[in-house]
Amino acid sequence: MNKNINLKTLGNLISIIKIKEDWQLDELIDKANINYNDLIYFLNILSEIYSKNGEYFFDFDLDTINNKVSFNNSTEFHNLETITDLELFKVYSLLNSIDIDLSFKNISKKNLQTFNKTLKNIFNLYNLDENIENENKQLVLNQKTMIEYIKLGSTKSYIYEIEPLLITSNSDGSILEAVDINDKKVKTFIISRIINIDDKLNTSPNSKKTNTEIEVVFNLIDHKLLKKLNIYKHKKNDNSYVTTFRNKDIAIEFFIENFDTAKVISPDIVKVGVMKRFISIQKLLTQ
Amino acid sequence: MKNVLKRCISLLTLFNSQSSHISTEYIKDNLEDYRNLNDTAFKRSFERDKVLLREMGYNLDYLNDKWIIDEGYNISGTSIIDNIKKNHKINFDNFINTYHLIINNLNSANDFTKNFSYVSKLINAINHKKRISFEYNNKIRKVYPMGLKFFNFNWYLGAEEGNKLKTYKLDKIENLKIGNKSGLHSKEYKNIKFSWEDNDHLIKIKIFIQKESYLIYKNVFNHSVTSKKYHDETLVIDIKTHDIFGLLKFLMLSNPQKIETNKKNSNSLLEALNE
Repeated sequence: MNKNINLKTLGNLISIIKIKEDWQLDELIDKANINYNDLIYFLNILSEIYSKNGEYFFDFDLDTINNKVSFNNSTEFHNLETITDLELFKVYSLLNSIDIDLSFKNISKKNLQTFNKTLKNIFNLYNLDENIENENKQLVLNQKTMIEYIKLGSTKSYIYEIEPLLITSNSDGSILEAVDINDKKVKTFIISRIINIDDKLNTSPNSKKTNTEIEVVFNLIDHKLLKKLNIYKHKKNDNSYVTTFRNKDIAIEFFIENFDTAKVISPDIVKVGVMKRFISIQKLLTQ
Repeated sequence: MKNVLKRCISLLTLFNSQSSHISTEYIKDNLEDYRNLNDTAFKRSFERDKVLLREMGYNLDYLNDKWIIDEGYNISGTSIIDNIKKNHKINFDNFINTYHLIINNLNSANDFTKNFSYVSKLINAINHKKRISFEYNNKIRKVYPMGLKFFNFNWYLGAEEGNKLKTYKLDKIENLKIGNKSGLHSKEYKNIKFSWEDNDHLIKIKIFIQKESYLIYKNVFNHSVTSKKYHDETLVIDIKTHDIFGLLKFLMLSNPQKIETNKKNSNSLLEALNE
């Protein structure tokens, strides 16, 4: 099923349709971020809903020749609110918890500031931007730029020429999805690992490191750790689990970060990598 | 999927016209897609639709408070946009337009916090100074919520329990209930400290580290920076923290060149490391 066919997208479309009665089809599709087929599917759903009194709820007139669509909807439709407090909260917190001074090509600085200020006055949020350092990190979405990025599990930085597309989040934190101009691929970058953004960064060809997947067996101390793993297997009659990482460096970093909730059993290369760091910190603390 | 979406929008419309205390029978009778279902099928569909609406941020709660005469379902979850709409100081068209442009470039669907759907109720309770109750670590808590705190991609509720400000991890809160009465206190907090910050001792430490390592790992622990200097490629940073395990994680990940702290702090860190 098309991933756009969900209640959230339909709610978003309703909120957009309420803005005005007459739309250019392209404009509506673009604003709702859906395709033509999705739009027709949603319009059909809405047209099958009746008001409590049996009156029409939603009425539309599609003019494909002139690429237009007109709406003549009931008061009930206009009174239907589909922007929830939760959606506003998610947008506000995602916008304001990233180490990037983010701007949008099609939104003026003033409008973005007003939007943020309006929501800031409503949400009692603490520590959202306390440790944010976004000097030298200004990013305009949909505008090509260069970033200096440290990959997961690595300490060396690489330069990428990108077109930033989307900000999202996963268990690693806030994520930037962007087109890598040289590789012509959409890639994900963990925002906290972007250390510099500048149009004039010197590009040097990034060394292509082939990832060798690695399977790690570990003992679990706290079950909460499993939430951070996408795929894992539980070894029967044992407290040990097996999971796979893209490469050994990522595996080592994962078990260093979670040293209090898991202990590596094998392979030695990961076990030793974690132990070395453990010993090095022990030494620093005893000096 | 088509029927589910249709039912959900119909439900919202029904609540919009009737507003509150809607009985289950009324819902079944007034929604065409429910009407023809037997009781079991209706209950199954209604529960599924409630979950979908909750995920979107609507709270569909059954009100059976002993002090009120009417029982039934009530819907909430859009008070913020309703208030913005009524506020003449805010240009609503501009706000909505900006919101739609932003969400095309932000994917807020991937949230990893369990109970994220409690946020709207909590914000309402905080802003209206209500009392709330919930289960936390198998104990029932009755608290006055003061604010939400974000740290290391986790949300926390700061709330007063027995005149003491405590923090509760959002994903561990169960069976949240919001009191009816507003304006129960007049307190406000400039800052919300983690509960353990009052108990454990404060660690002051100087760390000599690669600048980039600080930037990429600083979010793993709760701390404040008291001074920061650069010596060539090395960042010399003085920090204060109560978050001993977070600090250890940070040290392990960032692999600093040198650290300076007093004997007591070193011993505490070593003890925690060897636990």
